[in-house]
Amino acid sequence: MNKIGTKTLVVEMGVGMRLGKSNGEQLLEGLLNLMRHEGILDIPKVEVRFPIQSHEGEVVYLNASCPGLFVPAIEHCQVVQKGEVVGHIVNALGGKRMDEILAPITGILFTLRAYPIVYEGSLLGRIFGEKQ
Amino acid sequence: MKRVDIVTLESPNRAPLKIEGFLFGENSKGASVAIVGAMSGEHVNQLYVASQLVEYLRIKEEEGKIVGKILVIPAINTYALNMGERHWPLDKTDINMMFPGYEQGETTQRIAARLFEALQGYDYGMILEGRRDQGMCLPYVKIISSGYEDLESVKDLGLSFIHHRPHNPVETAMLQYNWQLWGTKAFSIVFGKSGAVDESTSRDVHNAIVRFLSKRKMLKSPVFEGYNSNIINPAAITVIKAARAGIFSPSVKCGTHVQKGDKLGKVMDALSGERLEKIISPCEGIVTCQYSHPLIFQNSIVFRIASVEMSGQKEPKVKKKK
Repeated sequence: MNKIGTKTLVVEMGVGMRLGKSNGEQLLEGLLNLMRHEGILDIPKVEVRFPIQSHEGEVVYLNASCPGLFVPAIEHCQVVQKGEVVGHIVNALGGKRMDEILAPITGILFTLRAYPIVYEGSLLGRIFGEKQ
Repeated sequence: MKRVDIVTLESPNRAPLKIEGFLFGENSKGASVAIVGAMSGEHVNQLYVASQLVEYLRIKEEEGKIVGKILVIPAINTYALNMGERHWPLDKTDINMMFPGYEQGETTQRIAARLFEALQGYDYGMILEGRRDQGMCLPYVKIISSGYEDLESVKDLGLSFIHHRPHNPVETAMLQYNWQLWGTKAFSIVFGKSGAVDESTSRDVHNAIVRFLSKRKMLKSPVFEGYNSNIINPAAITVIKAARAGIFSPSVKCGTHVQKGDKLGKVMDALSGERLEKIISPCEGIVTCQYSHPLIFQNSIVFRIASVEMSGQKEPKVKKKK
Protein backbone atom coordinates (compact mmCIF):
# COMPACT_ATOMS: atom_id res chain seq x y z
CA MET A 1 0.00 0.00 0.00
CA ASN A 2 2.82 2.40 0.86
CA LYS A 3 4.47 1.52 -2.41
CA ILE A 4 1.43 2.55 -4.41
CA GLY A 5 1.18 5.84 -2.54
CA THR A 6 -1.35 5.19 0.19
CA LYS A 7 0.10 6.01 3.60
CA THR A 8 -0.43 2.84 5.59
CA LEU A 9 0.32 1.61 9.07
CA VAL A 10 -0.34 -1.66 10.88
CA VAL A 11 -1.69 -1.89 14.42
CA GLU A 12 -1.16 -5.07 16.38
CA MET A 13 -2.86 -5.55 19.69
CA GLY A 14 -4.59 -8.03 21.90
CA VAL A 15 -4.77 -11.81 21.60
CA GLY A 16 -5.86 -13.66 18.51
CA MET A 17 -9.43 -14.95 18.38
CA ARG A 18 -10.43 -12.88 21.44
CA LEU A 19 -12.35 -9.64 21.85
CA GLY A 20 -10.69 -7.24 24.31
CA LYS A 21 -12.92 -4.33 25.31
CA SER A 22 -10.20 -2.05 26.64
CA ASN A 23 -7.92 -2.74 23.64
CA GLY A 24 -10.80 -2.10 21.30
CA GLU A 25 -11.71 1.18 22.97
CA GLN A 26 -8.08 2.32 22.98
CA LEU A 27 -7.80 1.54 19.27
CA LEU A 28 -11.06 3.31 18.47
CA GLU A 29 -9.94 6.43 20.31
CA GLY A 30 -6.66 6.32 18.45
CA LEU A 31 -8.35 5.98 15.06
CA LEU A 32 -10.70 8.87 15.77
CA ASN A 33 -7.80 11.03 16.95
CA LEU A 34 -5.78 10.17 13.83
CA MET A 35 -8.68 11.06 11.56
CA ARG A 36 -9.14 14.35 13.41
CA HIS A 37 -5.42 15.09 13.03
CA GLU A 38 -5.53 14.32 9.30
CA GLY A 39 -8.55 16.57 8.80
CA ILE A 40 -10.91 13.72 7.97
CA LEU A 41 -13.16 14.22 11.00
CA ASP A 42 -14.15 17.52 12.57
CA ILE A 43 -14.40 16.38 16.18
CA PRO A 44 -12.94 17.51 19.50
CA LYS A 45 -9.46 16.29 20.31
CA VAL A 46 -9.46 12.80 21.80
CA GLU A 47 -7.09 12.17 24.69
CA VAL A 48 -4.70 9.37 23.84
CA ARG A 49 -1.66 7.93 25.60
CA PHE A 50 1.76 9.24 24.61
CA PRO A 51 3.48 6.41 22.73
CA ILE A 52 6.95 4.99 23.20
CA GLN A 53 8.63 5.40 19.83
CA SER A 54 11.07 2.91 18.43
CA HIS A 55 13.53 5.21 16.64
CA GLU A 56 16.51 4.90 18.92
CA GLY A 57 15.85 1.57 20.51
CA GLU A 58 15.73 -1.88 19.01
CA VAL A 59 13.29 -4.75 19.00
CA VAL A 60 14.66 -8.21 19.62
CA TYR A 61 12.75 -11.38 18.81
CA LEU A 62 12.62 -14.42 21.02
CA ASN A 63 12.15 -17.59 18.95
CA ALA A 64 11.77 -21.14 20.22
CA SER A 65 14.90 -23.24 19.83
CA CYS A 66 12.95 -26.50 20.07
CA PRO A 67 9.38 -27.83 20.00
CA GLY A 68 7.25 -28.21 23.13
CA LEU A 69 4.95 -26.23 25.37
CA PHE A 70 5.91 -22.66 26.16
CA VAL A 71 5.40 -21.69 29.80
CA PRO A 72 5.92 -17.96 30.40
CA ALA A 73 7.61 -16.89 33.62
CA ILE A 74 6.53 -13.24 33.57
CA GLU A 75 3.51 -11.21 32.57
CA HIS A 76 3.04 -9.35 29.32
CA CYS A 77 4.24 -5.69 29.21
CA GLN A 78 6.68 -6.12 32.11
CA VAL A 79 10.11 -4.57 32.13
CA VAL A 80 12.70 -7.34 31.89
CA GLN A 81 16.41 -7.16 32.70
CA LYS A 82 19.06 -8.65 30.46
CA GLY A 83 19.47 -12.30 31.45
CA GLU A 84 16.12 -12.53 33.23
CA VAL A 85 14.06 -15.67 32.64
CA VAL A 86 11.17 -14.98 30.26
CA GLY A 87 9.88 -18.53 30.23
CA HIS A 88 10.58 -22.19 29.57
CA ILE A 89 9.86 -24.77 26.91
CA VAL A 90 8.84 -28.12 28.31
CA ASN A 91 8.39 -31.45 26.58
CA ALA A 92 4.75 -31.83 25.57
CA LEU A 93 4.55 -35.48 26.57
CA GLY A 94 7.01 -35.95 29.45
CA GLY A 95 7.08 -32.45 30.92
CA LYS A 96 10.87 -32.26 30.97
CA ARG A 97 12.29 -28.76 30.71
CA MET A 98 13.88 -28.49 27.27
CA ASP A 99 14.99 -24.85 27.18
CA GLU A 100 15.09 -21.72 29.28
CA ILE A 101 14.45 -18.46 27.47
CA LEU A 102 16.48 -15.53 28.75
CA ALA A 103 16.01 -11.89 27.84
CA PRO A 104 18.96 -10.87 25.60
CA ILE A 105 18.48 -7.18 26.39
CA THR A 106 16.86 -5.01 29.05
CA GLY A 107 13.55 -3.55 27.95
CA ILE A 108 9.79 -3.97 27.80
CA LEU A 109 8.35 -7.34 26.90
CA PHE A 110 5.70 -5.88 24.61
CA THR A 111 4.79 -9.18 22.93
CA LEU A 112 4.31 -12.47 24.73
CA ARG A 113 3.09 -15.69 23.17
CA ALA A 114 -0.35 -16.81 24.33
CA TYR A 115 -0.69 -20.11 22.44
CA PRO A 116 1.47 -22.65 24.25
CA ILE A 117 2.31 -25.20 21.55
CA VAL A 118 5.54 -24.22 19.84
CA TYR A 119 7.73 -25.54 17.07
CA GLU A 120 11.33 -24.64 16.50
CA GLY A 121 11.25 -21.01 15.43
CA SER A 122 7.86 -20.11 16.91
CA LEU A 123 7.80 -16.54 18.13
CA LEU A 124 7.72 -16.45 21.93
CA GLY A 125 8.04 -12.75 22.56
CA ARG A 126 9.48 -9.41 21.57
CA ILE A 127 11.41 -6.96 23.73
CA PHE A 128 11.86 -3.30 22.99
CA GLY A 129 14.98 -1.93 24.57
CA GLU A 130 18.01 0.25 24.04
CA LYS A 131 20.09 -0.31 20.95
CA GLN A 132 23.00 -2.61 21.81
CA MET B 1 18.24 -43.29 -6.90
CA LYS B 2 19.09 -41.85 -3.53
CA ARG B 3 16.46 -40.85 -1.03
CA VAL B 4 17.77 -37.78 0.76
CA ASP B 5 16.68 -35.80 3.80
CA ILE B 6 16.18 -32.18 2.84
CA VAL B 7 14.66 -30.78 6.04
CA THR B 8 13.77 -32.40 9.35
CA LEU B 9 11.90 -30.40 11.96
CA GLU B 10 10.99 -31.94 15.30
CA SER B 11 7.42 -31.70 16.57
CA PRO B 12 6.17 -31.42 20.15
CA ASN B 13 3.55 -34.10 19.79
CA ARG B 14 3.67 -35.88 16.43
CA ALA B 15 6.15 -37.33 13.96
CA PRO B 16 8.75 -34.82 12.77
CA LEU B 17 8.23 -32.83 9.61
CA LYS B 18 10.40 -34.58 7.05
CA ILE B 19 10.97 -33.12 3.63
CA GLU B 20 12.56 -35.76 1.44
CA GLY B 21 14.03 -35.66 -2.00
CA PHE B 22 14.83 -38.28 -4.61
CA LEU B 23 18.17 -37.73 -6.28
CA PHE B 24 19.10 -39.21 -9.64
CA GLY B 25 22.44 -38.97 -11.42
CA GLU B 26 24.14 -37.52 -8.37
CA ASN B 27 27.62 -37.61 -9.88
CA SER B 28 26.58 -36.64 -13.37
CA LYS B 29 28.58 -33.94 -15.12
CA GLY B 30 25.59 -32.94 -17.21
CA ALA B 31 22.94 -30.28 -16.65
CA SER B 32 20.95 -30.33 -13.41
CA VAL B 33 17.39 -29.63 -12.34
CA ALA B 34 15.57 -29.54 -9.03
CA ILE B 35 11.82 -30.12 -9.13
CA VAL B 36 9.76 -28.91 -6.16
CA GLY B 37 6.29 -30.35 -5.55
CA ALA B 38 3.51 -29.48 -3.16
CA MET B 39 4.25 -26.42 -1.01
CA SER B 40 0.58 -26.15 -0.18
CA GLY B 41 -1.58 -28.82 1.43
CA GLU B 42 -4.12 -28.39 -1.35
CA HIS B 43 -1.69 -29.15 -4.16
CA VAL B 44 -2.37 -32.86 -4.27
CA ASN B 45 -2.14 -33.04 -8.05
CA GLN B 46 1.33 -31.55 -7.86
CA LEU B 47 2.32 -34.18 -5.29
CA TYR B 48 0.92 -36.90 -7.56
CA VAL B 49 2.80 -35.71 -10.65
CA ALA B 50 6.06 -35.47 -8.69
CA SER B 51 5.68 -38.93 -7.20
CA GLN B 52 4.87 -40.48 -10.57
CA LEU B 53 7.93 -38.73 -11.98
CA VAL B 54 10.07 -40.32 -9.26
CA GLU B 55 8.86 -43.77 -10.25
CA TYR B 56 9.46 -43.03 -13.95
CA LEU B 57 12.99 -41.76 -13.31
CA ARG B 58 13.78 -44.75 -11.10
CA ILE B 59 13.04 -47.03 -14.05
CA LYS B 60 14.99 -44.83 -16.47
CA GLU B 61 17.96 -44.83 -14.13
CA GLU B 62 17.99 -48.62 -14.11
CA GLU B 63 18.00 -48.47 -17.91
CA GLY B 64 20.98 -46.11 -17.80
CA LYS B 65 19.06 -43.23 -19.35
CA ILE B 66 19.75 -40.54 -16.76
CA VAL B 67 22.58 -38.26 -17.95
CA GLY B 68 21.99 -35.22 -15.79
CA LYS B 69 21.47 -34.55 -12.10
CA ILE B 70 17.81 -34.53 -11.14
CA LEU B 71 16.37 -33.86 -7.68
CA VAL B 72 12.65 -34.32 -7.10
CA ILE B 73 11.09 -33.13 -3.84
CA PRO B 74 7.47 -34.27 -4.07
CA ALA B 75 6.14 -32.63 -0.90
CA ILE B 76 7.19 -29.71 1.25
CA ASN B 77 4.22 -29.11 3.54
CA THR B 78 3.47 -32.68 4.54
CA TYR B 79 1.60 -31.65 7.68
CA ALA B 80 -0.82 -29.55 5.61
CA LEU B 81 -1.27 -32.34 3.04
CA ASN B 82 -2.15 -34.79 5.80
CA MET B 83 -4.61 -32.40 7.40
CA GLY B 84 -6.19 -31.05 4.21
CA GLU B 85 -5.12 -27.52 5.01
CA ARG B 86 -3.63 -25.01 2.63
CA HIS B 87 -0.86 -23.46 4.74
CA TRP B 88 1.39 -24.47 7.65
CA PRO B 89 -1.28 -25.67 10.08
CA LEU B 90 0.24 -24.23 13.26
CA ASP B 91 0.25 -20.57 12.31
CA LYS B 92 -1.43 -20.54 8.86
CA THR B 93 1.60 -19.02 7.17
CA ASP B 94 2.45 -19.78 3.56
CA ILE B 95 5.86 -21.40 3.14
CA ASN B 96 5.96 -20.01 -0.40
CA MET B 97 5.90 -16.48 1.02
CA MET B 98 8.98 -16.97 3.22
CA PHE B 99 11.83 -17.16 0.72
CA PRO B 100 14.77 -16.95 0.71
CA GLY B 101 14.06 -17.88 4.33
CA TYR B 102 15.71 -16.92 7.59
CA GLU B 103 17.42 -19.50 9.78
CA GLN B 104 16.89 -17.45 12.97
CA GLY B 105 13.29 -16.60 12.18
CA GLU B 106 9.91 -18.19 12.70
CA THR B 107 9.12 -21.82 11.83
CA THR B 108 8.20 -21.46 8.17
CA GLN B 109 11.05 -18.99 7.62
CA ARG B 110 13.42 -21.70 8.89
CA ILE B 111 11.81 -24.36 6.70
CA ALA B 112 12.16 -22.05 3.69
CA ALA B 113 15.79 -21.27 4.55
CA ARG B 114 16.81 -24.94 4.78
CA LEU B 115 14.91 -25.88 1.64
CA PHE B 116 16.40 -22.94 -0.27
CA GLU B 117 19.89 -23.97 0.77
CA ALA B 118 19.27 -27.49 -0.58
CA LEU B 119 18.08 -26.03 -3.90
CA GLN B 120 21.19 -23.98 -4.59
CA GLY B 121 23.47 -24.76 -7.48
CA TYR B 122 20.99 -26.33 -9.89
CA ASP B 123 20.95 -25.13 -13.48
CA TYR B 124 17.17 -25.31 -13.72
CA GLY B 125 14.46 -25.07 -11.10
CA MET B 126 10.96 -26.31 -11.69
CA ILE B 127 8.13 -25.57 -9.25
CA LEU B 128 4.89 -27.53 -9.56
CA GLU B 129 2.13 -25.16 -8.50
CA GLY B 130 -1.60 -24.93 -8.34
CA ARG B 131 -3.63 -21.77 -8.69
CA ARG B 132 -3.65 -19.60 -5.58
CA ASP B 133 -7.28 -18.66 -6.18
CA GLN B 134 -10.33 -20.94 -6.47
CA GLY B 135 -9.63 -21.72 -10.06
CA MET B 136 -8.38 -24.53 -12.24
CA CYS B 137 -6.43 -24.14 -15.40
CA LEU B 138 -4.80 -25.61 -18.44
CA PRO B 139 -1.23 -26.52 -17.58
CA TYR B 140 0.88 -23.46 -18.33
CA VAL B 141 4.30 -22.10 -17.53
CA LYS B 142 4.49 -19.11 -15.24
CA ILE B 143 7.78 -17.31 -15.53
CA ILE B 144 8.38 -14.11 -13.64
CA SER B 145 10.30 -11.30 -15.25
CA SER B 146 13.09 -10.69 -12.76
CA GLY B 147 15.86 -9.95 -15.22
CA TYR B 148 17.35 -13.41 -14.59
CA GLU B 149 14.67 -15.59 -16.19
CA ASP B 150 15.34 -17.88 -19.16
CA LEU B 151 12.42 -17.84 -21.56
CA GLU B 152 14.08 -20.02 -24.19
CA SER B 153 14.56 -23.08 -22.01
CA VAL B 154 10.93 -23.27 -20.90
CA LYS B 155 9.81 -23.62 -24.51
CA ASP B 156 11.26 -27.13 -24.33
CA LEU B 157 8.37 -28.14 -22.09
CA GLY B 158 6.12 -27.88 -25.12
CA LEU B 159 3.14 -26.57 -23.17
CA SER B 160 0.62 -24.45 -25.03
CA PHE B 161 1.10 -21.26 -22.99
CA ILE B 162 3.95 -19.49 -21.31
CA HIS B 163 2.76 -16.65 -19.10
CA HIS B 164 5.67 -14.25 -18.93
CA ARG B 165 4.98 -11.24 -16.76
CA PRO B 166 6.50 -8.73 -14.37
CA HIS B 167 6.59 -9.81 -10.75
CA ASN B 168 4.28 -8.20 -8.24
CA PRO B 169 5.67 -7.12 -4.84
CA VAL B 170 4.49 -10.21 -2.93
CA GLU B 171 6.29 -12.49 -5.37
CA THR B 172 9.64 -11.18 -4.15
CA ALA B 173 9.09 -13.44 -1.12
CA MET B 174 8.31 -16.50 -3.25
CA LEU B 175 10.55 -19.35 -4.34
CA GLN B 176 10.62 -18.70 -8.08
CA TYR B 177 11.76 -15.08 -7.81
CA ASN B 178 14.45 -15.78 -5.23
CA TRP B 179 15.65 -18.90 -6.99
CA GLN B 180 16.15 -16.86 -10.19
CA LEU B 181 18.06 -14.19 -8.28
CA TRP B 182 20.36 -16.85 -6.88
CA GLY B 183 21.38 -18.13 -10.32
CA THR B 184 18.93 -20.92 -11.13
CA LYS B 185 16.77 -20.71 -14.24
CA ALA B 186 13.56 -21.17 -12.29
CA PHE B 187 9.98 -21.34 -13.51
CA SER B 188 6.64 -22.78 -12.43
CA ILE B 189 4.25 -25.18 -14.10
CA VAL B 190 0.76 -24.24 -12.93
CA PHE B 191 -1.96 -26.80 -13.36
CA GLY B 192 -4.90 -28.60 -11.89
CA LYS B 193 -7.58 -27.99 -9.32
CA SER B 194 -6.92 -27.69 -5.59
CA GLY B 195 -7.49 -30.86 -3.65
CA ALA B 196 -8.05 -33.08 -6.68
CA VAL B 197 -6.06 -35.29 -9.04
CA ASP B 198 -6.84 -35.24 -12.75
CA GLU B 199 -5.20 -38.06 -14.70
CA SER B 200 -5.33 -36.39 -18.09
CA THR B 201 -3.75 -33.16 -16.83
CA SER B 202 -1.19 -35.16 -14.87
CA ARG B 203 -0.14 -37.04 -18.01
CA ASP B 204 0.22 -33.80 -19.96
CA VAL B 205 2.44 -32.29 -17.26
CA HIS B 206 4.46 -35.49 -16.90
CA ASN B 207 5.07 -35.59 -20.64
CA ALA B 208 6.08 -31.92 -20.62
CA ILE B 209 8.61 -32.52 -17.84
CA VAL B 210 10.06 -35.58 -19.61
CA ARG B 211 10.28 -33.56 -22.83
CA PHE B 212 12.18 -30.83 -21.00
CA LEU B 213 14.59 -33.30 -19.38
CA SER B 214 15.27 -34.91 -22.74
CA LYS B 215 15.76 -31.67 -24.69
CA ARG B 216 17.93 -30.20 -21.95
CA LYS B 217 20.15 -33.28 -22.09
CA MET B 218 19.36 -34.73 -18.67
CA LEU B 219 17.50 -37.75 -19.96
CA LYS B 220 18.41 -39.94 -22.91
CA SER B 221 14.94 -40.61 -24.18
CA PRO B 222 13.27 -39.79 -27.49
CA VAL B 223 10.18 -37.66 -27.04
CA PHE B 224 7.34 -36.42 -29.17
CA GLU B 225 7.34 -32.70 -29.82
CA GLY B 226 4.90 -30.63 -27.82
CA TYR B 227 3.24 -27.36 -28.61
CA ASN B 228 5.05 -24.46 -30.18
CA SER B 229 4.39 -22.45 -27.02
CA ASN B 230 2.48 -19.20 -27.12
CA ILE B 231 4.17 -16.58 -24.99
CA ILE B 232 1.48 -14.40 -23.51
CA ASN B 233 1.59 -11.35 -21.31
CA PRO B 234 -1.11 -10.03 -18.98
CA ALA B 235 -2.54 -7.80 -21.73
CA ALA B 236 -3.51 -10.92 -23.68
CA ILE B 237 -5.68 -12.31 -20.91
CA THR B 238 -9.32 -11.27 -20.68
CA VAL B 239 -10.66 -11.66 -17.16
CA ILE B 240 -14.38 -12.31 -16.80
CA LYS B 241 -16.04 -11.83 -13.43
CA ALA B 242 -19.35 -13.10 -12.14
CA ALA B 243 -21.86 -10.28 -11.89
CA ARG B 244 -23.96 -12.21 -9.41
CA ALA B 245 -23.41 -14.62 -6.55
CA GLY B 246 -24.96 -18.06 -6.57
CA ILE B 247 -24.40 -21.53 -7.98
CA PHE B 248 -22.02 -21.49 -10.92
CA SER B 249 -22.46 -23.92 -13.81
CA PRO B 250 -19.84 -23.79 -16.59
CA SER B 251 -20.66 -24.72 -20.19
CA VAL B 252 -17.06 -24.93 -21.35
CA LYS B 253 -13.85 -26.51 -20.09
CA CYS B 254 -10.33 -25.23 -19.91
CA GLY B 255 -8.79 -25.50 -23.33
CA THR B 256 -12.00 -24.74 -25.24
CA HIS B 257 -11.57 -22.34 -28.13
CA VAL B 258 -14.44 -19.89 -27.90
CA GLN B 259 -15.78 -17.19 -30.18
CA LYS B 260 -17.03 -13.80 -29.13
CA GLY B 261 -20.63 -14.22 -28.01
CA ASP B 262 -20.37 -17.92 -27.07
CA LYS B 263 -22.06 -19.00 -23.87
CA LEU B 264 -19.47 -19.84 -21.21
CA GLY B 265 -21.73 -20.65 -18.28
CA LYS B 266 -24.42 -19.39 -15.95
CA VAL B 267 -25.03 -18.39 -12.36
CA MET B 268 -28.23 -19.50 -10.65
CA ASP B 269 -29.84 -18.30 -7.45
CA ALA B 270 -28.66 -20.68 -4.72
CA LEU B 271 -32.11 -20.85 -3.13
CA SER B 272 -34.68 -20.35 -5.86
CA GLY B 273 -32.77 -21.81 -8.82
CA GLU B 274 -33.60 -18.75 -10.95
CA ARG B 275 -30.99 -18.02 -13.61
CA LEU B 276 -29.31 -14.79 -12.55
CA GLU B 277 -26.65 -14.43 -15.17
CA LYS B 278 -25.67 -15.90 -18.50
CA ILE B 279 -21.91 -15.55 -18.96
CA ILE B 280 -20.97 -14.67 -22.51
CA SER B 281 -17.49 -14.55 -24.01
CA PRO B 282 -16.46 -10.97 -24.84
CA CYS B 283 -13.73 -12.12 -27.21
CA GLU B 284 -12.33 -14.97 -29.23
CA GLY B 285 -9.68 -17.04 -27.54
CA ILE B 286 -8.88 -20.08 -25.47
CA VAL B 287 -10.29 -20.62 -21.99
CA THR B 288 -7.16 -21.04 -19.89
CA CYS B 289 -8.66 -20.88 -16.39
CA GLN B 290 -12.07 -21.22 -14.81
CA TYR B 291 -13.61 -21.00 -11.38
CA SER B 292 -13.61 -24.46 -9.89
CA HIS B 293 -16.21 -24.41 -7.14
CA PRO B 294 -19.98 -24.63 -7.45
CA LEU B 295 -20.65 -21.66 -5.13
CA ILE B 296 -19.47 -18.33 -6.43
CA PHE B 297 -19.33 -14.79 -5.01
CA GLN B 298 -20.16 -11.69 -6.99
CA ASN B 299 -17.04 -10.33 -8.71
CA SER B 300 -15.16 -13.62 -8.44
CA ILE B 301 -13.07 -14.32 -11.52
CA VAL B 302 -15.02 -16.96 -13.36
CA PHE B 303 -13.00 -17.33 -16.58
CA ARG B 304 -9.71 -16.23 -18.07
CA ILE B 305 -9.42 -16.25 -21.84
CA ALA B 306 -6.14 -15.95 -23.70
CA SER B 307 -6.60 -14.05 -26.90
CA VAL B 308 -4.21 -14.42 -29.81
CA GLU B 309 -4.99 -10.95 -31.17
CA MET B 310 -4.19 -9.26 -27.90
CA SER B 311 -1.07 -11.35 -27.32
CA GLY B 312 0.67 -9.66 -30.21
CA GLN B 313 1.49 -12.97 -31.83
CA LYS B 314 2.27 -12.47 -35.48
CA GLU B 315 0.25 -14.42 -38.01
CA PRO B 316 2.40 -16.63 -40.23
CA LYS B 317 3.10 -15.06 -43.63
CA VAL B 318 1.37 -16.85 -46.44
CA LYS B 319 3.03 -16.77 -49.89
CA LYS B 320 0.63 -15.53 -52.52
CA LYS B 321 0.54 -17.45 -55.76
CA LYS B 322 1.77 -15.43 -58.75
